[in-house]
Amino acid sequence: MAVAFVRDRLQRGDKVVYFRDRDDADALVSSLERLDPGAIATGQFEVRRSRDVYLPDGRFDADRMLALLRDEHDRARADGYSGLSLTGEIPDAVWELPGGEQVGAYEARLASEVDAPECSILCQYGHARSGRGLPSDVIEAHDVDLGPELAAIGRDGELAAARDRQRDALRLAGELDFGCAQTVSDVLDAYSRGPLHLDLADLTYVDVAGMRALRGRTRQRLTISPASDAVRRLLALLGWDTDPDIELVETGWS
Amino acid sequence: MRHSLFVYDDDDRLVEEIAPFLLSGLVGGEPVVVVLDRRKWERLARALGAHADRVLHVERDAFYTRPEAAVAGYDATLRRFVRAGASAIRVFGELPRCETDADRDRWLTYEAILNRAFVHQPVWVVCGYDTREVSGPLLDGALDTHPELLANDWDVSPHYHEPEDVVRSRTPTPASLPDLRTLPVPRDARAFRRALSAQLEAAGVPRPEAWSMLVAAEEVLANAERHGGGAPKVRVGRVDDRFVCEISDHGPGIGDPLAGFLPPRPGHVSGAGLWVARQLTTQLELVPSQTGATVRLSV
Repeated sequence: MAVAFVRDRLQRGDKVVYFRDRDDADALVSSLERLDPGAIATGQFEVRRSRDVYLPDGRFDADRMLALLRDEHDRARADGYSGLSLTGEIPDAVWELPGGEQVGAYEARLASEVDAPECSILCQYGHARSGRGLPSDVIEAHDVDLGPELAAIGRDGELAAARDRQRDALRLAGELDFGCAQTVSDVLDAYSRGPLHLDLADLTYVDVAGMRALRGRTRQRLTISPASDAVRRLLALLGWDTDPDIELVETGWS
Repeated sequence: MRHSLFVYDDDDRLVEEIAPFLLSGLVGGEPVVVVLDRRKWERLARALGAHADRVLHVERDAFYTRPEAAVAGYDATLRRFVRAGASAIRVFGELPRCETDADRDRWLTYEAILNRAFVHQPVWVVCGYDTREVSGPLLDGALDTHPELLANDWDVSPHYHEPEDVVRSRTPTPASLPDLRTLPVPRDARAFRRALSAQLEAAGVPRPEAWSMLVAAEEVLANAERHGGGAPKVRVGRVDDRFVCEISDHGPGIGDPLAGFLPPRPGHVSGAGLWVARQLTTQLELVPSQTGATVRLSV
C-alpha cells in the first residue's frame, strides 16, 4: 500500500517523507528505496524515524506536530517540489505516552489546517501491533481507514487491508494465500454489500484460494484496479478475464 | 462441442473438403480459426477468396508448443469469441509433426483431453491428419480420440475411446528420483514459499520460472492439505536441466487422469489449483505411491 502511494507521489514530483516506526520495516523501506534510487540521492525521498518526529521528548504535542508539518510543506514548495506527501506509522508508543489522547483531534486538524491541495498524507496504523481497533475519532479523520472490521485480515497473515473512502475501494497489500483466504472471505461477506472495488497493486502474492476469497460467497461484481503482476497472471489463468462479473481496469504505471 | 477427424493424402483433397467447411461458417457469421502451416493455409486462403480475411490463422508450430499451453490457448480464444456474442465457432487444425513415440503419445493425450475440455463451448473442431506426414500408429490413435470422422459424410467413429482411458494408457509412469532432498515439513503456506524460494535461488533458477514453481507448488500443497491428511512431505532438487519439486501426502491419491487438464469454468470450484500448476510448470506428473498421492513438478 505504502509502495503504491510513494511511487505515485514521486512520479507526480512531490517531496515524499516516510516516517518509520517499526524495526521490522526494513524490507518495506528497502523496497521503497529500490523504487527510485535517484530520489534518495536528490533528497526527494526521505525516511525518518517517526519516534524522533512525533515524540522528540517522550510526549505527543499536536500543535508542535502541525507546525512541523507546515514547515515541511513550505520547505518542499520552496525547494521546487510540486507538493509534500507524507506516509508511515505513527509510533505505537504514542497511545501510552502523555499527549496520546490528542491524536484523534490532531488527525482531524490535519485535514482542516494543513489543507493545501498539494499536500497529501497516508496514515498507517498497524492492526497486528495495536491488537485493538483504532479510536473512532482517528478513523473518522481519514480518507483511507482501516476500520476495525478489517482487523481480522491483518492478524492472519502477511496481509493488510484498508478502505479508500475517496475511491470507495478496498486495498489489499501483502500475500493472500490459502492460509488466510477464509478470513478474507468471511470479512468480505460480512461487510461488503453490492459491487466491490479492489485495489490490488500491492498484492505481491496470491493463490487460487486467495482469488476465490475475493469473490466471497455472494459472487458479487468485482472491479480490480489497479492489479499487481501476480494478480494479473492468476486472473488470466483462471479465465476471469472474460467473466462478465469481473472487470480489470488497466492502469498506466503498473 | 463437435470434434471430428479428417484424413487426407493430398492438398487438393484438403481444399475440396475443408474450404466448404470453413466457408459455411464464415457466411453464417461464425468466428473461424485455422491452425495450420503457412503453405497449406495459403492454398486454403486462395480457395476462400475475400472470405479468408475473416479467418483467424494461427501458425501451427508456434501454437502447438505443448498440450497444456494449446488447451489454454484454445480456451482463451473460445471464451473471448463467446463473450463477444458468438453462438457457433469453427476450428480447423493440424497437430505438429511427432518425431518420437513420446511426442505422439503426448499429442494424442491432448486430442483426448479436448473432448472433455470444451464440452460447454459451441465449437466444432475438425482435425486434419495428412497421411504424407503422419505415421500409422498416430493415425490409429487419432481414430481413438475423435468421436466423429469424415468418410462419406460426418459419421460417428466406431473406434472412439473414453478420454480417461486414452490418457491413462498413453501417460508414461514416472521413474522415482531417489536423489531429491527432503525439506522440513512446512508450518504453513508462507513458510513453505520461503523455504522453496531459498532452494530455487540456490539452484540458480531464473526469476520467472521460480515464481511459476512457487505458485504451482503452493497449489499442490493446498490440495495436499485439503485432501491429503496434512503434513505433506516435500522433496526438491536439480535433475539434469530441470528443477523438480515433489509433494507427497497421505490421502487417497488423484484418481482422475484428466486432473488439472481441464480449464476452470465459472461456477465450477474444484480443480483450478492443479490447472494453474500444470499451466505454470513444464511438466506435472502423478507419481505412483504406496502411501498417498505424490505430485512431481518440473520447471
